[in-house]
Formats: sequence, structure tokens, C-alpha cells
Amino acid sequence: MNREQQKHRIALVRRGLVAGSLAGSLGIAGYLGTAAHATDASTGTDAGTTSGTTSGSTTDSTSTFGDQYGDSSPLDQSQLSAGSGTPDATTRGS
Amino acid sequence: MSTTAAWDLWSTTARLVVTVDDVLDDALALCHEVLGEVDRAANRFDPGSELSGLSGDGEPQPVSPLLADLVAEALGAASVTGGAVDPTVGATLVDLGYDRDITLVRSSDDRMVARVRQVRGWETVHLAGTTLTMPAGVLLDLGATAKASAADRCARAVAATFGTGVLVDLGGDIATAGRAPGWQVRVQDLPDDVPQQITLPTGWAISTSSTRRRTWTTDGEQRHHLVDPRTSRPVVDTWAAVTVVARTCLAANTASTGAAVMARRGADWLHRTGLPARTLDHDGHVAAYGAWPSQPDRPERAA
Repeated sequence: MNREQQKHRIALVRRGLVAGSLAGSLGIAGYLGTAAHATDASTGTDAGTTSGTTSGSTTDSTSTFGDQYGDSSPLDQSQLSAGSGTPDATTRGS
Repeated sequence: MSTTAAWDLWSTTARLVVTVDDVLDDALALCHEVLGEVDRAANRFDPGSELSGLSGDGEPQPVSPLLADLVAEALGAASVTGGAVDPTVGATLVDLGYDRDITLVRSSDDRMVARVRQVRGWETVHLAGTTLTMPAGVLLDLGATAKASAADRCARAVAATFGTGVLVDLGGDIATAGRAPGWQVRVQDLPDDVPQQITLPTGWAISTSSTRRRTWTTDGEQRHHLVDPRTSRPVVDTWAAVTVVARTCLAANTASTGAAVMARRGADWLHRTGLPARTLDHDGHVAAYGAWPSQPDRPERAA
């Protein structure tokens, strides 16, 4: 696996595509990133425990937000709007 | 319609909201299972946790896949914030007095600080597979990312397992998943703050970082938990609170914490992320970034 493939795999995991796509078959391990074998959602390759284990390679450089977490920009003001009514939750520092 | 459970967790309050009422108990049990695993792996206040048992001796050591995952997420957050969100602040926080659960720290307020170790820096930590190597003296604090990641993991697990819309709120770190018309989320760091309410689309997450909530006193000086790795002291001259919306709670928390630690230079950085965000000054002024909705009837500055 070359560096670009590693970065792609890390980005997929960051976006939850690997663990999230395998919910039915992996049980809790899939959500904890501890499944012995998982399949990369986009490539069909074995991702396994690489959800946490290839990331050491990120320590040798500084990445951008998009590289790390995928594209968050499509959200616009038609989707994120002022709210009303009874709140479901409150965000605060903790 | 939705139904809610709330419980105490990590010195804060956790909430689970599901749109399918009859799965609440099972969904809650699943969340407890996920959170228990994260706690056993990464709780630095639990001497029995895997994190507490790590050796900072410069030698490679095996860690569980879950802890490797959480460390990788922390290193990723450090990378993307240029080191502002640094997991190697643990020893510095301990020296500043934040060495136990925050409620216990507050109960023994105003201790003396003898010395404060410098933040060693995230680039000194190496993770290869499930082998972790840290230089001597490094204590990891995964608090900035692990709680947010736990919210993501719980939300994904509940939605996929029970086919319900779900919101998981771990002390203000909020992740959503599944089918839902959108979630009503109030943004209010302290009870006296003017609140703003937004509609968060399902599948998105929101997080707030604050310098006013997790505080304690040592040497007669109030401290907070957001340490500037450049000074090894709590960051100064920053916002009261920063709130960010992103695809995952891990990303949202990384951005809100990163911006808060960067302080004023964090404004440009927030703009560059393109994420919807909101900053609150200590004087109550609010600034909006990206697609953050405007707040009617209150003073607001262009960011």
C-alpha cells in the first residue's frame, strides 16, 4: 500500500465509511474499530484493524482538514437553519 | 416523536434520543457497552484503564486495537490543527492540577503548583499498527477526541443496529445518525448565555469547546483544560466558547478545540475549514462562520 492509498484509507475511516458500512455483520466491534476483518466500503479491500493502525503514518506531516475528515462543505444554510421548538439536546463545553 | 434517556457520564450528562420509541432500552444498553469499552481503553483518571498502564519509556509497546484507534484519532486531530489539539498535554495537565476527575479536582481547590512539565509534542508519539512508542515522561490525554469519537461510535451503532434515527449527546458532543427530520439543538455554553437554537440535519454532528466550564483553581489562579502546547499553560485571550458543525463529532470537536487553542488566529483557520461555526466572546458577542445560521435579535459581528 503506497502513501496515497494509506491516506485514502485513513480518510475513509475518519468519515466513518468503513466501520459504519459494516454495522450488520460486525456488531459492536465494528463501531469500536476493533473488528478483525472489515471491508473498505469503496474499494472492497480488506481494511481490518487498519482503522487505527496505519494512522501512525500521519505523524510525519500536517494534513488539511479535508484530507483528514473528508468533505464537510456541502452543508449550506438551506440545510443548517435556525431552529425552534423543544430542543433535543444542548451543545456546551464540557 | 422521540424518546430520551439521560445519565451521568465522565462528570457530565449524556443523553440518548431515538425516533423509534420501543428500542430505547436496547439502544441504551448498546451505548453503555460502547462507552464502557472506550472508558476502559482511554480514561486517564482510571488507574486500571489501558491508557493509564502505558509506559512512557521510549520502548515500543503493544496496545489494543481500540486504543490504537483512539490514539490514531488524537494524532490525526493534532496533525490537522497544526498541533493545537495535542494529546501529549497529559503531564502538563497533571502538573497544573487536573490529575483526577474534575469534580474531585474542584473539591481540593487551590493547591500549589510546584512545576509544570512542558508539552512534549504529538510528533514524538509513534503508532505503527498496534505498537505505540512514546518518549519518557509523556502522558497521553485523549479527552479532546475520545469523547467525541465515542459519540460518533454510539450513534452509528444504534442507527445501524436498530434502524432508528438517533442523537447521542455526551456532555455537549453531539452525533446523529439514521433517518430523522432533523434535530433541534440549543447552543448555550453557560446558563446565563443567550441561547441560539439550530436545526441540525441528521447525519451531522456538533461540538462546543469552552474555557469556562472545566475549570479549577491552583496557586490562586483559575485554570481551564485547554492547554496551549506552545506555552504549556491554559490558553489565554481566546473565545469563551467555539461551536462547530461537521460530518462527525470527532471532526467537529477537533475544529472547535483547535480553534479555541489557536485563539484569535483560529478565526482564519476556522474560515479555511469551511465548516459552519460560531464563536462566543467573553462580552457576549457572537460571530458566525460558513453556513452557520444567523441569530436574530442579538448583536453579531461578521467573522
